[in-house]
Amino acid sequence: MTILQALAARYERLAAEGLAPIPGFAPAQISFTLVINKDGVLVAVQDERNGDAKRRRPRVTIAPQAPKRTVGVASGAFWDKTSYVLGRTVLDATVSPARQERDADRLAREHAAFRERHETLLSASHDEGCQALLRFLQNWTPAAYDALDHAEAMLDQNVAFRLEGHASFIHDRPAARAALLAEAAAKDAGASAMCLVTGQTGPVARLHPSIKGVPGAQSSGAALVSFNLDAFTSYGHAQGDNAPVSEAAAFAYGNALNALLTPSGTDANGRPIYPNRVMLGGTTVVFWAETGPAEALASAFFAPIPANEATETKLLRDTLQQMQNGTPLRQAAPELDPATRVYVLGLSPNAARLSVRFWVEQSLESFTANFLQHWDDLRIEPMPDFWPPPLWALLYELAAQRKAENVPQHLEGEFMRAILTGLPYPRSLLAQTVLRIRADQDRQDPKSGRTLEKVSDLRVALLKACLARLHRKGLIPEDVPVSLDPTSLNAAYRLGRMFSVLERLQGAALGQRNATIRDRFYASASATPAQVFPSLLRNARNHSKTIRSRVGAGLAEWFEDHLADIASGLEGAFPKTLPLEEQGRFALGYYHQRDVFRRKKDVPVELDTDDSTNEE
Amino acid sequence: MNGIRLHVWGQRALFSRPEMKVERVSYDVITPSAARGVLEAIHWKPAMVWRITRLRVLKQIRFESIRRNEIGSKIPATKIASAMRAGTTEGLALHVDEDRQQRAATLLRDVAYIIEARVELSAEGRASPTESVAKHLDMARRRAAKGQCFHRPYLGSREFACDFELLEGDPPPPHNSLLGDRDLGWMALDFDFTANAAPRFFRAMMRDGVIDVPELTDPEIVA
Repeated sequence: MTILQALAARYERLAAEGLAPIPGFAPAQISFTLVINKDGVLVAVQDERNGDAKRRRPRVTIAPQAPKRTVGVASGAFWDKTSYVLGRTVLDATVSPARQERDADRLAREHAAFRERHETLLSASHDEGCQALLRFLQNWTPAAYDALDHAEAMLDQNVAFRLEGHASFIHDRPAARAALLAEAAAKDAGASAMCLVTGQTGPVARLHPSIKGVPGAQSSGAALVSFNLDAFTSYGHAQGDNAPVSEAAAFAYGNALNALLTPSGTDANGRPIYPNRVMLGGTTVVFWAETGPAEALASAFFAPIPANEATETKLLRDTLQQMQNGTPLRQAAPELDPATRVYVLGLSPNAARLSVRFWVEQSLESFTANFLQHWDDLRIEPMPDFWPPPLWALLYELAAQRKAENVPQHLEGEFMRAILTGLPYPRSLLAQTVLRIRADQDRQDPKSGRTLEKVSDLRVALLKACLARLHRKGLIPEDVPVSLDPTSLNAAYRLGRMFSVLERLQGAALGQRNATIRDRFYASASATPAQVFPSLLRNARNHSKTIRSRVGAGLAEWFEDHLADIASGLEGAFPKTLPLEEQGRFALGYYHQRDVFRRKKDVPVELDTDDSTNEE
Repeated sequence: MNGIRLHVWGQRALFSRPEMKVERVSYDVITPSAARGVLEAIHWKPAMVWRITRLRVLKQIRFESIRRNEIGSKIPATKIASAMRAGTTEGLALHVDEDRQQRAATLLRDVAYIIEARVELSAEGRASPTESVAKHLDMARRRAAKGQCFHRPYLGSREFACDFELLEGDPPPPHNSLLGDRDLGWMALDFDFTANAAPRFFRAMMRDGVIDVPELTDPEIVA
């Protein structure tokens, strides 16, 4: 299946359930309604917006599709902004008189276009609502605008019409719909060609629908399929002829994609809920499945549900927990067909276009298996705070200052692709994580007060995941331990452990420091151990002496034994440099050993007295 | 034998979908027209036409995403024509740094295909008595065996050059992930140059990594 085909199939499924908009209609944001009586006299102006006084959002309702407006004058039908409907807009009085004249001229043309369109549309109609609208337009002058209620608030907003005494809009009336359909049929449809989505012959869509709801794209919508510049056309074709897609298929996929990107409501905190969308840094990930329950399970994988959610999500959470513990899909969720197709599309905005970052389509079984494999690869002891880690949390660890805009752009798509397909993680993931560990310092998060660590749990989990997957694919010979492995003879791993012990030794000897050896020497110790470790060990001897005199011989000996134990596994001299994978193992060793100190179980009691409040 | 079997492989391939031509997304497998392009790079004469009969996919289908800076406009042919008439290139320029467009591409990584094709004589070839299918096939086989080509064959886009060799003996088995039936949707077959370069599409079904390609004039492919 291809992207457009899968989206069109989703539209068909929604249409069969009656949840899809009909051709020619699309969701529109209406702010105000003009109520007219059957003689065409304006009776009232209603404010359709909801929300409080601060943020008034227009009401979303199904209305005739707005024309794709570029720089030309193209009028909508039965609703539009006030410059078209009423001939009034916010006119900038500070520009030159020539410009003001041009603006006024354009305004007049827009209003005239609206009038003309309705005159051709509705002149033959006998419906009282349509006749009322026609009379209103014939009798309306823009000068009468100022006498209306909400005059200033209404400028440049979308307005629609309603007949007095009726609850529905005029565009909802059957006669209005019939008029629109007749107009569309009469319009000279584009040349017929074979559609590459459905395989059937039909009129070719010239302009493809705008996809709104992709953050970062133009607010007026970006197009998934567009040929807006010369360099993109071939064989002399213009616009949509470069890729023949029938109007029906274009409408279907546009609607399906727009529907997938719209929020379905707001949660307890007032934030919109997106049932089919996940943001990964700058990439929008849209996912759907052939059936509703499969889709719900897929969304549980993408956005792990926090522990305190309502009961209907509890079932999903339990299913997820069971699958993580090893229960196969067939047992954990027997009502779901494992062969159901799950589709994941990654979109990235590029001004007026959308580029596809990845497209993966697979069965529910392999989708869940790949995700579980990903979490399994990430697993380390001690476990990070929130398990399984959400995708965005992993990506934030790769960003400078953990800010969303600093996430390396290219990496998001490749990371997601690696998770969904089970292929090795991109090498830049390993490189970027090691880079961030070396470059960052411990920081206090101003909002939550937590310490954001240099060698944080998720970063180490990412390193471990990269190495584990490489090993599983047979690309590196040595496996990577999940928890502390004292018997491991890997030099980098042991050096990482040694570094952690040396750091603790320094802390015990000198008390709380502003800059421990971790802050100063971690980067060079992990990259060029031979240069750094000899001097660190020399200092360690001095620290040991200090501890002997200050605290006692027991603690000093404990440290010395520990160091000797780790050093005994190192054969020969310290390695001159460590390649990237080994630097990953270094961080892993450091992390595992550090946890030994934090758990305080296996360490001497005296260490508690200097309990480092510089480490949390 | 009445056909040629060519093994092509490359590091990257981009068989752009027509609908995702701007922000390029590749088809999952090689298209018949791209396969024809590979063969025409090795051997082609106006007297003959290549007809692709079968495509075999050997390696796992893997995608990769890249972004490249390109340009947004073409120099119109009329501008060139008027420059030729005027006899000067004054004003005939395309300033790349004023016209940048960044375009993403989702392309295939590490591909290997076996292209099975046969030769047909074109109208010009049929008119001449010295032309024959066997002659062109022999020439093509000899050139493929020696590694000769007019220009380096490429996989979809010119920048993704490929290597080729003539396949003797049995084709190698496909990767495990390709086993079974897969519906690849409507795929571009080729252009019908006799009908104003109209594109033709066919329903591509991949069975154990093998795609049987219909004729251009097959009623199955529609319009």
